[in-house]
Amino acid sequence: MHALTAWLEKFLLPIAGKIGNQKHLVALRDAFIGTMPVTMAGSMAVLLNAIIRDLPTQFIDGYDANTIPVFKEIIGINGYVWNGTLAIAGLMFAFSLGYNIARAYGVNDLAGGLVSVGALIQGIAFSAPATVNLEPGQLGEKATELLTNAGSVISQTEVLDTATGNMKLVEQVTNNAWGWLKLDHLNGNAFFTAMILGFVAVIIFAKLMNRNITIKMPEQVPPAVSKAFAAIIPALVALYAVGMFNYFFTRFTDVLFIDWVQKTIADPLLELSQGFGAVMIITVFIQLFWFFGIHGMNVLAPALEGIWGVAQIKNVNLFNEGGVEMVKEHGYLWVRGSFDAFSMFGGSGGTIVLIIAILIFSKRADYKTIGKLSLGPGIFNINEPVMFGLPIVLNPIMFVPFLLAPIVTTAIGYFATINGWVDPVSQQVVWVTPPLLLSFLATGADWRAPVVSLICMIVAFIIYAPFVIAANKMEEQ
Amino acid sequence: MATKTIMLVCSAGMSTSMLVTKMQKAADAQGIDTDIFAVSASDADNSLASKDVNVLLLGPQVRFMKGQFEAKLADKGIPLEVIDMKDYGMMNGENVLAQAMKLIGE
Repeated sequence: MHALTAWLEKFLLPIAGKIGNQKHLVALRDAFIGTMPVTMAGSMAVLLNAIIRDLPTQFIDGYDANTIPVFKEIIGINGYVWNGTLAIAGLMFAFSLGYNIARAYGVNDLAGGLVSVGALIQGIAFSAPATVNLEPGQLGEKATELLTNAGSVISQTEVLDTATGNMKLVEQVTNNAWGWLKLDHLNGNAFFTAMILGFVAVIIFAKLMNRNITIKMPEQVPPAVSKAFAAIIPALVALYAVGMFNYFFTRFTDVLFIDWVQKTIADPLLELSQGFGAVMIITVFIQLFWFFGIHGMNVLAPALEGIWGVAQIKNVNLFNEGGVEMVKEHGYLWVRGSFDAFSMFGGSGGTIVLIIAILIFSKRADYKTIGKLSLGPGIFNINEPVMFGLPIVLNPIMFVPFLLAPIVTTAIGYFATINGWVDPVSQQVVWVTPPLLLSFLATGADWRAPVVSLICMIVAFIIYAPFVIAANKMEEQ
Repeated sequence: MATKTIMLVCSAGMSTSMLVTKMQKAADAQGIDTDIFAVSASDADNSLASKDVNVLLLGPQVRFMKGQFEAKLADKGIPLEVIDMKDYGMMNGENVLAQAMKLIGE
């Protein structure tokens, strides 16, 4: 046991140190945290709609919140809030990332955020293509003239007739309205592109700033003005570099970089995150870090937020679009909040049940004191007191249950979700929400979720209890 | 005696904020004039820029960020230490306050 912890400590602590001091990873983590005020507001809008619009339909036949005064208005307001938050979550993230990278390099952070937004936006779709197929000759002369004048392109094309399986000639009206930003390029789909282009652009920007390749103003110029001027050349070079990349990428591949990233990087990576193995690996590592007294969720935030967090934002948006059915059909089953809902009750390790086990079984004075001290914060998923006070950290008796309980409870939550016994997490809920209530809200008010959480808690209790009793006996001897 | 500003940093600023209450109580009992506050690691920069901090204490769960903070504090000359694990877990405000005061050199 001692050799194992010694080996793990030697292996894990440097990883934590490296991640914690790697400024790009720190910037990435802080960028995700930085978007929380707005994504939480958007999630609140979706959650409110779930409760007043979608939940009652499960119990009341013919319920339609859109016909009820006050509810109707609240739903309408929620729509506006969502528009300004989750609908453009990727755009917000792009700014937050650029800002944090620039901060990490100690250069003009506002300019860094703007450069990052610029880098993302320049490569997204600016036109809204729409195509209508008509039988040849169906379109009158006058209509043809009007459409052509309005910028539509009318051509005769052969298309596959899905009904007969043969090719047939149609008159195709294509309208490419310019001046529209594609929302699908600014929401959760933008995260990975924002990460790639944001890093490239802002690192170029920051390095040039740091090398003083800037416009220098005479001393009499106010600092605010000279600060903005200093950022001009670096921002220009950074945005031109990304611009050239976008131009040549689209020229040679004929797709937008953002669409390519989505298809070849984002989708496969998110798919991978849905595997049981990936979920288990991250669970084990969170626990291992915590066992050595290091905030596992925090160290692994770049992966947790960057992959499962992105999946979660997609779920929230899908829920807003079409409720839980839409999430089940097109969303992800296991997301960031799923960990909180089914295994992190009371904090990492599900320690609220350990506290309960201590209060029931332990006669040890030190355990009882810490149990009472930790119960209050534990209800809000804050577990540092029991972690460091009991302690769980580097405590050989607690190693096994602390590692095992979340593995088992995560597995229960995972398979319950995969098998459709409980709706997938589709809401973003603040992590300090007490257990049971958290999983109820996170699943868009599915009553079965707290039941599954409760089962997880009972199982975790059964895992923890013998070790609490053993610790008790050790004291007696 | 001038007010001493003690800054605590942890992951979300949650558990440290509990410690703040306990430390403040201990300081009041001892008649020490202090301003103690807790922030999350991501907010630390703002606080460092806006407040005149005398000492910074890190929660043990974020001790891997020590290097990052050392770099930030180097030119400011603000002392930095990780809070003792046991004191942190037991929320022992008195001991942590003593640790902070010792670092300030009072």
